[in-house]
Amino acid sequence: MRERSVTHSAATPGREITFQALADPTRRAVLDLLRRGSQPAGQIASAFPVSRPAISKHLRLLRRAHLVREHREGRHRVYQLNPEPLRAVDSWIEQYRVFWASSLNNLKAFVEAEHAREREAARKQRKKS
Amino acid sequence: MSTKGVTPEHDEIVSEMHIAAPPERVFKALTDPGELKQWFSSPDCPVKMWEMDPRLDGAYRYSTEKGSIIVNGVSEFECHGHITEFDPPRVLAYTWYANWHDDSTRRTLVRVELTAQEQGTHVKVTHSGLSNLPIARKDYSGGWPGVVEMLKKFIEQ
Repeated sequence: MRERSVTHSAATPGREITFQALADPTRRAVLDLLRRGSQPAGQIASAFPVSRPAISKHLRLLRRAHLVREHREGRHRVYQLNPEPLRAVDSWIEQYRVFWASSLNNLKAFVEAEHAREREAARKQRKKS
Repeated sequence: MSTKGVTPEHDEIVSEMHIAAPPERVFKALTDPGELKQWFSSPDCPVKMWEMDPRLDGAYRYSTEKGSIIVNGVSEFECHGHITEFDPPRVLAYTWYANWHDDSTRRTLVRVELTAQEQGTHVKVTHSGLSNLPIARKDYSGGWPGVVEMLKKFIEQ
């Protein structure tokens, strides 16, 4: 399992790197900003009260997580949002939504049937005595 | 019944259900291995084994036959952990290590809360730790809020 997921992350960034990238409020704010459209690095930096190198570092992490794409336009580095990795995270969690919903359905059916049976048995018992 | 998405505060999912039986009856189904084997199963992946030592720190383990579904390359599912909260008939919580997770050694937590209602029991299951990122959680304490809104926004966009 572990080996497999390592191989996997070599090809595409794993969910882990996505979550790591999302764990920082500034990086989330950068992504939010990019939802409005691609922007050059300078413009992104000016939207935040942190240093330019700090923003560069955040952008680098976001790029490594494939959450943003970078291309050059003249002398500007322009960043574009890529929401694909987020879908992978969501589909992973979706699995458990389905799992627990169906487990609880099973639990309900089982317990209600058992409870009705036990009550019926108790009722008969009372009648007898 | 409702299964909400990840809550805004944590990397967790919440699933809720009303059951027309008292909490004691529900708690038994949650902790008796013989009963677990009957309901904690599905046609997709029939349960092979269910063991639980129903007490605080007690271990549990379940495994399935080869199922018709594949998660992360796994089709014979195995999951185990320890009971971290045992308060019959109100709370049962256990750690959840599963062989279909990216990293099967990382801890996730399942907490089941039972609340007595006039017509039975309200059951609430919270499964947390799903992002499997203890390092980030420690380093960026308070950094989680908003992740889920982001996810939602992006996915719905």
